[in-house]
This record gives sequence, C-alpha cells and structure tokens, in this order.
Amino acid sequence: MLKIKNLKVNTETEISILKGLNLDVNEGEVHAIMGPNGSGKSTLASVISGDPKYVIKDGVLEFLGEDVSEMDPEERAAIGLFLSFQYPVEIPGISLNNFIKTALNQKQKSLGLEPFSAKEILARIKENANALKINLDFIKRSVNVGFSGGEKKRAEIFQMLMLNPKLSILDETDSGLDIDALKIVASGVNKLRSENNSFIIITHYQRLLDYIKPDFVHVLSDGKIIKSGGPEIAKMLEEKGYDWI
Amino acid sequence: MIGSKKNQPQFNFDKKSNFISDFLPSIKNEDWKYTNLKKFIPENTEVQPLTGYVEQEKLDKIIHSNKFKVPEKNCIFFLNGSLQETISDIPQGVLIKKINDKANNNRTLYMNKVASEFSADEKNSYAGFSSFLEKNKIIELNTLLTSSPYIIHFDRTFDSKNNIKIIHGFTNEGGWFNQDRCLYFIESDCEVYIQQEVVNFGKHDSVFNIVSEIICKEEANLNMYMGQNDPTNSSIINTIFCAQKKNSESNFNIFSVNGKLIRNNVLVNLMNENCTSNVYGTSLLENKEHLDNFIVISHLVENCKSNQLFKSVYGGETTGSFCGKIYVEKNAQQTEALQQNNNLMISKKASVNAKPQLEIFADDVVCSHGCTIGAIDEKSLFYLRSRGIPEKEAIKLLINGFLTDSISMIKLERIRDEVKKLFFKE
Repeated sequence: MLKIKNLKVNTETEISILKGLNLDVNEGEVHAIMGPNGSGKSTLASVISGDPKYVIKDGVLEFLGEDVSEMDPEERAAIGLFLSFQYPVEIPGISLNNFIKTALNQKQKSLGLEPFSAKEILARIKENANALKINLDFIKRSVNVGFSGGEKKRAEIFQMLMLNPKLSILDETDSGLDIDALKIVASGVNKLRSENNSFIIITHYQRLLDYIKPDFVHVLSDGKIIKSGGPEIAKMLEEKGYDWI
Repeated sequence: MIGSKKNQPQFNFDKKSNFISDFLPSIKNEDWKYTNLKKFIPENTEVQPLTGYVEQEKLDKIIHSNKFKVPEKNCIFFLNGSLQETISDIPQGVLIKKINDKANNNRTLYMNKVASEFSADEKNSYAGFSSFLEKNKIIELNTLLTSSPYIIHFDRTFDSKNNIKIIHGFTNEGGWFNQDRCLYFIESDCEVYIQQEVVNFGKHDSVFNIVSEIICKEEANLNMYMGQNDPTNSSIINTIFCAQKKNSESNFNIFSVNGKLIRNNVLVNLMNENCTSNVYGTSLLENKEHLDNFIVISHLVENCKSNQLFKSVYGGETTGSFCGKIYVEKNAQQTEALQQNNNLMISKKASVNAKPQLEIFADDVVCSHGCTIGAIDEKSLFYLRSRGIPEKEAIKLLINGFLTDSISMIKLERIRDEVKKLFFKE
C-alpha cells in the first residue's frame, strides 16, 4: 500500500532530516514508529501527507502503486491518506461540523462521486461521535479552538473515522492523554481497523500499543529506520531506553 | 434633467471645482494620512443639483433602470437628497420633517440646533465632535451643499419589529459630487433597526458624501447596518455623528465589499452614564478598492462601555487604512473600552495601514487595543488541505472563518443571513 524507498528529505532551509528511509506498509497492517526526539518521525508523517514545508531530495514515495511525491495534500487525502496531527491547528470561525462536511464532500467530488446528503452525513456524525463519546454540541464548536489537549486528539480521531481513510498516520496522538482518553482514542482506531485499512502509529510510549496491537515496530533514529521487529521491541525500549539499540 | 439650479445653495458656481478642492484634506492632514481624497475627487468634479419632488413616472423609470427593488414596507427613500414620499413606506412612530433653517455656521452640526431642550452642559458635550469638524472640512462642504436636512424622528409608538431601510439614491449624470444629510432622533425607550444603503442610479465614477447625525435619548437602542457594495466604481464618504444619553446603546455594523473609495467616519460621544457603543466593521475587498475606516469613540463620563471590532480581508491591488481612537475624559472612571483590528492579506499587491490610538486621561479604566496584519496561515492551510479540501476552497474557508466573529455580532438573524450570503457567496 505504502512504499518508501531510500527517502531523503530536507526542510525548505536545506536542513537534511530524513536520510534514506525505507518502509513498506501493506493492507491491514499496523506499524508503530518509535524513536528519540528530533529523529524525524513527525517529518516522515508530514512528508507522506504532502506538507509543502518539506522538499523530497531523493527516493521513492508510492501509495497504492502511484507515485505521490508530487501530489498536492488534498489529492493524497482524496485517494485515502490521513494524518492525525501532533499539534492540531485551531481554525476560528469554522465549526467542526461544517469542516467535516466540506472535507467529506470535497473528497467525494475529487473521486467523481455524488455528495452525501445532509441526512447521511448526520447519521455518520452521530455514529462516530457516539463511538468516541463526543457530545454533539462539541461538533458545533470552532475547529480545535479552546479544545483541551484530549479534546483535540479526540477530534482528530473523529475526523479520521468520518473520512474513512485507507492509511492513517497518527502522529503522537497519545501524547498528553489520560488513560480514559487513551482508551477512547484506541477504540476509535480499532473501530476502523480492518484487512483493508492500515495505520502508522508514531508514539513515544509502549502503553498505547497495549490497546492498539501493532504488527511491526520500527525505531527511527537520525533520519533512518535502524531497527524493525515485532511488538517486543516496544517493550524493550520502554524498559531500557534507546541506548539499548 | 431632474432638478434645477434654482434650488442650489448660494455659492459661486463659476469656480465650482476650485470651490470643492478648497475643502478637500491633503494627506498632510493626520486624519487623511492614508487616503488622498484629491485622487478620488478630481478637479472637474461637478456639484450635484438638488432635486426636490420627482414625478412618479420618472421615479419608476429611474428605479427600474438598474433593477433596484424598493422594499414595499418600512422604506424611506431619498433621491438626490429629497424624500420621495410616494415610494416610501413610513411606519407608525416615525415622523420625517425638514429642519426649518440652515445651520448658521457651517461647522456646527444640526444636532446642536435640534436638541434645544438639552441643557447648556449637554450642548457642550457636542463639542467633542468639534475637533473632528475642524480638521474635516468635507463635513462643512456637506452642510454647504445640502439644503436643511430631514430629521427622522422615532418615538415611543414605533414598533422595533419594523426594520427601517433608508435608501440614499442618486441620479448623477456623470462625475457628480453628491451629498445627503439626515438627522436621526431616537426617543427614550425606543429600539430601532436601520439598514442604510447608498444606491447609484446614475453614471459611474461618482462621489457620495453622506452625513448622518444621531441623537439617542435615554434608554434608546439603535442598531444601524451599513452595506457598501457599489458596483459603479463610485466613492463614498460615510460619516456618522452619534450622541448618546443615559443608558442608551448604539450598534453600528459596516460591511464593505465593493467601491472605488470607501471612507467611514464613525464618531460617538458617550455623554451620560451607562452608555454602550459597539462599532463593527467587516470587509472583503478583492479588486482595486481603497477602504479607510476612521473611528473615534469618546468616553466623556464614567461607567460607559465601548467596543470596536474591525476585520478586513485585502486581496488584489486593494489598499486600506484603519484608524481607531478611544478617548477617555479625565472624569470618565470605570470606562470599559475595547478595540480590535485584524487584517488578512491574501495578495502580495495589497497593503494596509493600521493606527490604533488610545487617549486616556482617567486612571481607573479598562482599555485595550489590538491590531494584527498577516497572511493566510500556512499551517492552517496545510491542515485543511490534508483533509482533502483543495487549496482554493481551503483559503475561502479560512477567510470565512476570519470574518465570522464580526458578522456574528449582527443581532438580527435576517440581516446576518443576508450578510453571510454577501461575504461567503453561499
């Protein structure tokens, strides 16, 4: 589904961040990416989603067999990519409700499909809000404005469920969450998890992986994946720290 | 041609253009630093003749010429400065009459004359406007070039559900400098909603100089909506003088989307205790417009509140200026005065100058001012695009979001919806 080969990425100011990264994600797989601060985890997430702040210098970035390295972020979203932001942006004046409706119907439009009816959207909003224990009044508030840290992350997962992406990248979605919020977020991911939907979960902590069982765990350091394996790696890291590698 | 020169005010016609330019401020005048009025009112500008009564047939023809729809109810229609009673619908509780004589001094406002029942003290309070009048002869020019104005009087029998539409229509036949002048007198306990509109039925490239004086008596509640969407490449100078008495409230909402030059002067004097005044401006300019909002709110006594909120989006080759002043008199303790001005630049060729000003002589007050000028936030844009919203749509959504808080200040839902349509093109 996602194929990354020897990916080299710089910032606009020509600082090299990813230095030859390889990663393959297949249908239905959950990959966890761990690594020390500043190793390039968020950059990887942003580059896959098409953040114009980063420049791809070399390598292959394919999604569903298509080269996406030159695609606009909206085109990537339309074919099934989703990024849950580490720091969700506050957008004053636009309600979460309105935002998600616009996003859904724009996606339909780019796929050449009919827009959803208001009734259909409402039913989906209700279902997903319910799954994440989100109050419907919350949906009427401006996107992320005045949301607590936990609410912001929950709103990200809500958007993910609404947009039903093929590959979801969760960038430290668990950071700053209490244990109840963590369980809710994990349940959201598990709701979407299927043999067709894949996930890349970026995290510092093993505890999220207790609720979302990864198929693979990778350690990212200095712009490269230096170790890959099963869930046992996460446990070892939690116990021994990154020096262990 | 409508109107005749017989009705003209007395001045030397032969030197008309020189005459006008004598009254135009230069950019050396601090109040006009960013708007060169001489650029918008060229040398050959002619003075609009006064019209008087217009026959129904002629009137219909004028109005239908640009598909304008005159509201059937609650509409007060002026054409070239004259009330057209046949197509106006004046509800119960509104009395319109001419003020008997001209102002004896061109620099004094008519409200001084009208408020004869006010004590000498209160008369002096109008002096708050005098420093502005001193520097802005364009008002004096309006006084000179209009006959004595109409006073629109709202009394207690007026039903606030009757939202009034005031239309200042003009039929200029090319490059005219048009004036109109009104005085609103809002009686005690009256709640009034007014929509003001300036409509050009004439040729393009005209100039409109509209002056409204407003007296809000005790407990009066005035809401005034001013839409500025002129498609005829004309310029408007719109001036409000509002004097407020005890426990009164005024809300001004200005919406600017179209026009060669739009200059709004809003001057409010809070003269007695517990007055509130809110001035809100929303603008979305995308071509070559020049917008200049000039606001002065004077807290002359204690315990009054005011709020200025101006949100502007500048695109294309537009230019703009915001000058907002809060003046707090020495004895005006417990004043609460806020001011906020945010400018969003969506084009590299657009520019804006902002000048927030506080002049505070009291020592126990809450006053604030904030001003921002910025481009579309890249992070927000990427966030929206990462959800599948194309760049163009995402920018539109961010603009809508930016303009939402000043639009949400509109109390009447019907007008709020109209304004949303105008800005969001929904």
